[in-house]
Amino acid sequence: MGRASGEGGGARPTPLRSGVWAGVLRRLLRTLATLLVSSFLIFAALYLSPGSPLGFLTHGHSLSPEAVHSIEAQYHLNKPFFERYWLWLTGLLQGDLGRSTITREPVTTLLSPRIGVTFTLVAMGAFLIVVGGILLGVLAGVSGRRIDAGVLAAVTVGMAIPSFVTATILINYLALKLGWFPVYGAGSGFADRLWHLTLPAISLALGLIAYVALITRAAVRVEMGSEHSDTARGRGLRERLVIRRHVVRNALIPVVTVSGITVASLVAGVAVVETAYELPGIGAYLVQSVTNNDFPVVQGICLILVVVYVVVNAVVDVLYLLLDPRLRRSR
Amino acid sequence: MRLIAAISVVLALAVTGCGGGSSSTSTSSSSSPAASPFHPAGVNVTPTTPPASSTVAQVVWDEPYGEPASLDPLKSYALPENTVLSNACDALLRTGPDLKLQPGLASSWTHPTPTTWVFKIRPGVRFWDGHPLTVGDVLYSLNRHLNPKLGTFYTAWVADIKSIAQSGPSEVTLTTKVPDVIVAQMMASGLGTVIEKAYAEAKGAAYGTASGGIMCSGPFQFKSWQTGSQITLTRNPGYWDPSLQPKVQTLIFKFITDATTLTNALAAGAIDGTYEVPIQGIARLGGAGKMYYGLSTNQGILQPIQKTGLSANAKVREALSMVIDRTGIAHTVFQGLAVPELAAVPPDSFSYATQRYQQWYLGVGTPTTPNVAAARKLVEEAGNPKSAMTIGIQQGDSQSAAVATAIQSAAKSIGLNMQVKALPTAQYVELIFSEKARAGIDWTTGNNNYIDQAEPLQVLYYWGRSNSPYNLDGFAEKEVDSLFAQARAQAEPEQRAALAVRALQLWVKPVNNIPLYIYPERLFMNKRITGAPSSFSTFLYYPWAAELGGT
Amino acid sequence: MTPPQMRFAPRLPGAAASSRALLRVVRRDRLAAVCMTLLALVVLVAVFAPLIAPHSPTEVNLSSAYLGPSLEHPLGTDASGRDILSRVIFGARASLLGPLGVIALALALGVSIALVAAWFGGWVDTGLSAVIDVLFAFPGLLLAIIAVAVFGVGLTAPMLAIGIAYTPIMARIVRSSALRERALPYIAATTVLGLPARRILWRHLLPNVWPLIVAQSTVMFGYATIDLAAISFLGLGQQPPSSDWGLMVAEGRPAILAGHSAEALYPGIVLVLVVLCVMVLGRRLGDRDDRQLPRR
Repeated sequence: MGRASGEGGGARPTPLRSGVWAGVLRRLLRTLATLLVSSFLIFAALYLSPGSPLGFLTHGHSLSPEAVHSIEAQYHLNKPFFERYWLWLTGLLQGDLGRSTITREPVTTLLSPRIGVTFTLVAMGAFLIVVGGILLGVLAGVSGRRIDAGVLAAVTVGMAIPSFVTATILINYLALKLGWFPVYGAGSGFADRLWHLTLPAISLALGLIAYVALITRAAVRVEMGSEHSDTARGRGLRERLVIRRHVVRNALIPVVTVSGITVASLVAGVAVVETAYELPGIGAYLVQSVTNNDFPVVQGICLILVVVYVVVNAVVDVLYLLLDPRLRRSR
Repeated sequence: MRLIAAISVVLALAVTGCGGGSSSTSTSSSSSPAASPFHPAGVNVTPTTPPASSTVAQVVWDEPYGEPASLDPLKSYALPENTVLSNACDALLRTGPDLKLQPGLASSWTHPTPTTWVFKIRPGVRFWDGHPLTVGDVLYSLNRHLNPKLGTFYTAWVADIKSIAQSGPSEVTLTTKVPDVIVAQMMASGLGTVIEKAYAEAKGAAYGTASGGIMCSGPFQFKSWQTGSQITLTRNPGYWDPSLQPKVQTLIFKFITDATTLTNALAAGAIDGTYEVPIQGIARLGGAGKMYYGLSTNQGILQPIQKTGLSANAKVREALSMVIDRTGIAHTVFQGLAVPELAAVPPDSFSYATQRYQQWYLGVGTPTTPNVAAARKLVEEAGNPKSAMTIGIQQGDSQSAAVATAIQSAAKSIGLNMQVKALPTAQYVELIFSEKARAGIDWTTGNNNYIDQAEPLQVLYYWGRSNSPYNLDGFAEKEVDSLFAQARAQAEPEQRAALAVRALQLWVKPVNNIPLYIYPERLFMNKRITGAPSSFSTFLYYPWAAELGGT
Repeated sequence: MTPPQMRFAPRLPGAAASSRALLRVVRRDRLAAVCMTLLALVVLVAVFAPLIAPHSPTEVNLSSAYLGPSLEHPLGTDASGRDILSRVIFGARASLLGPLGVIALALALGVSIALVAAWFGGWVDTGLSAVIDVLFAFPGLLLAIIAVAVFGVGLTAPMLAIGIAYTPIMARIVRSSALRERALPYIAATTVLGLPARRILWRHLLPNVWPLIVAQSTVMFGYATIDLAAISFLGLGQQPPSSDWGLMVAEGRPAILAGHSAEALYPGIVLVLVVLCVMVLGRRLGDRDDRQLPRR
């Protein structure tokens, strides 16, 4: 477990002896290895799955042996396991994720219109989490006991309510009763899409705002009590300026890291939120494809989500290595 | 402390408030027809809706069973595919709003010998790209089903077809292997749908996919298919049928399957209309538009799918049939929009010899309320079996889950151990043709036990004759087979019905498919639009959207 | 959603035995006391469900669907005429068993991996770290969905998958504090005394890391409850006629349209309250200076 990130005690021990850049390089290599193993696991797991994709292909209507044979050939169903993995992997590198067993379309063709929806949703969710979390955290950190307690209570409750529950409540009130937001669909065009995805993004973000808010608040508290803030105050700087110049800036590092990791974990939440709002994104499509045993699509979407998750996490770790002044100083 | 109390209050308000308005489930029909064994009380069954009087730029329609898998007629043997395809592609015949056959691309048809059907192909029909529709296209389209390499879903029907060949300058002859009247009726389905040969050959395997598209002659032409999002059709200005000139410029199909989302979208006007309206949402739709109820050849049955085991035991079947609360299911699960089915043959399919069929149907004597004492006695006679049986249902089909739960509870009341298992869609459909998939599942119930045409014989075609691929419990009765063979050869309706009734009686007497419920088709159109016919199988096999237009 | 914060170990110096810590937290803090009481109540209800529930949770009575609250049915009945109170009570079993399984698995796997890695170091540590790295690539919910695709719907597959997904979090936290403990003089002393490694691990290292593990498990329990409820909501978890709370909310959702919200409402409230209480307790246990949440 020689991983650089996530060690206890507040500071992250780093392989200092080999320098920051070597650490970055090692992190990247490990990311690549992780991705390769993950791709194998995803492929192998679904290969082992019982039940035949032929079932859905034929809609339950019996099929002639010739037709079965040609389908098997098209989907490489008759080839040995490692050959199929190799075909899949080399296909991946050429941007080919195989064909859906249901629509018989290339998976990439099926995913490309859906990815935009999911990407916008995640981007909006990330925006809400980072901006909302930092604002709430700073508010709680610099305010008195009452506001602090209120903010904390609010974010904790937000964390405890499942996103499918908030979806039900938001649709019923803000969309149906008040008519402020559309009840369905992902919209077309930039502004329209943002408007359509606002409620889903809130549902997606609500459970995660707490992390960023709590870390921000803690960091602000620490920095508020730290020496150079006191020095600044001692020099007669106005309180607001102290907060802006010193407190917030120094609190930023842990906040950036937590934000990055929180945003990465959004990718798992999209399946629930997109299903609750029936959005045409890849998250809802993943759930549908699991139900339909459409394995090439399941493999493709899982791979995309894992890649995003792993890459964002790696970027956060690398940023941390590069940014942390304590690590720089200690070089 | 206060924090928790406050949260509870807020949550309680939030969720109770969601319910809103009325809790009544009554329908919006103006008159209140009395109860009948065929249709629910208070529901006005009308195959057609008020005709459209104006044109509309755009209509957004929903597919409550989800996105089509393909628009190739070879693979269109389910609701999502045919709801779209019936408007885009013409078949030789159509299923009219009254569920009777009408001419389509075939302007007329005759039945000169017991095994031949001659279809006169309509002249002057053009595909969307302007090419004329020829006998060559018809032959190509129909013969694709006979090519085993292409993998049609209509295999059961194709097995009875000997050949499809040209017999005159604009004439096609269908020859069957045995004397048969019901295969010809399927010329109103995907089996009789005509596509452009040149286009289909150019596209190859991509024909009917989102990227490959389709080329047909129907009233709406295919414009685009954004997978996961929508299918867009536009008005075909050159449609050949003067009585079905489309009044809608752009017709968009969405794929919302969730009852809550669909109801909200209908109530808010984001979706203009749909068939198979979710029952629980109907109370909410009152202000947005109007509900219509049509005829339906759909039915809910509990189908035994094993040749051995408890579900194959005649006494167990009879006991189960006796103790199921059909009235309760109709009132509660379907909120009064269904009635108990008295024999596993949907009575709206009695389109000919109606009286004879109805008389038989009402005389079968299936109980509508539970008779626990008599059922328990039968279970005793069966030796009080202790082993468990399992009902397989489709994941996400909440209605069937509720029905299965009711059956489970009924079985328990007579000492039978019944389990419910929700299967992924793929495994659920696999039940029909894979013995391996059926392992451990004794019964199945769902919403896909419809027959395609208003022809009661189709019930025997699927489940009664011994050599049907859909006959899973191995029911084999020589006399049923023989009567069925005679009936399907009989072109004269009354005589066919007389034979059919005898065969059906022999089939239902040792309980086979356990009848559960029947319901009229539920159609909703919002205030803006009207005109679509409201019957089940009409919206699969008739260009229904061509009737759609402004109010 | 995988709890992202858990990738960082909380700032937790070892504390006294966990039960004492719990008592201390509860005594000092009324909110924690309320949460503790509520959770204890829910657990009791789950254990004694057959004695407490007025009706069978699966008994269908089609003639009494959607009844309002009454003496016979205090919370009313659902679409099939089943008693909602009895379903919520029995649902406690279905809904708590899953998260419990998740924690048990994450604990067993995570703690063993961590202690072994921390104790032996070297290539053992490196090898185990590679395994952990790959596991980190799968958010819990995603792993659960894949598990359902492979093994089918139900409680078991998603439960095991989420348990495995939470393992690296547990392993990493335990490992880093075990490393710290290991460096302390008293452990070094035991090594010098020649005690076998296993004994040192179980007798000395584990008890000192235990309070941290309890705090972490408590928080994880909250996330596991939400994750499994989400899986049920997606239709991939427990199936009807189970009265798992997440499933009840999903099943009750369409009835809200017709004005019958009880089936979705009550399990929803109980679910949120349980998760909230678990999280409040978890944070209190984790915070020695106990200042992160408002106190009343």
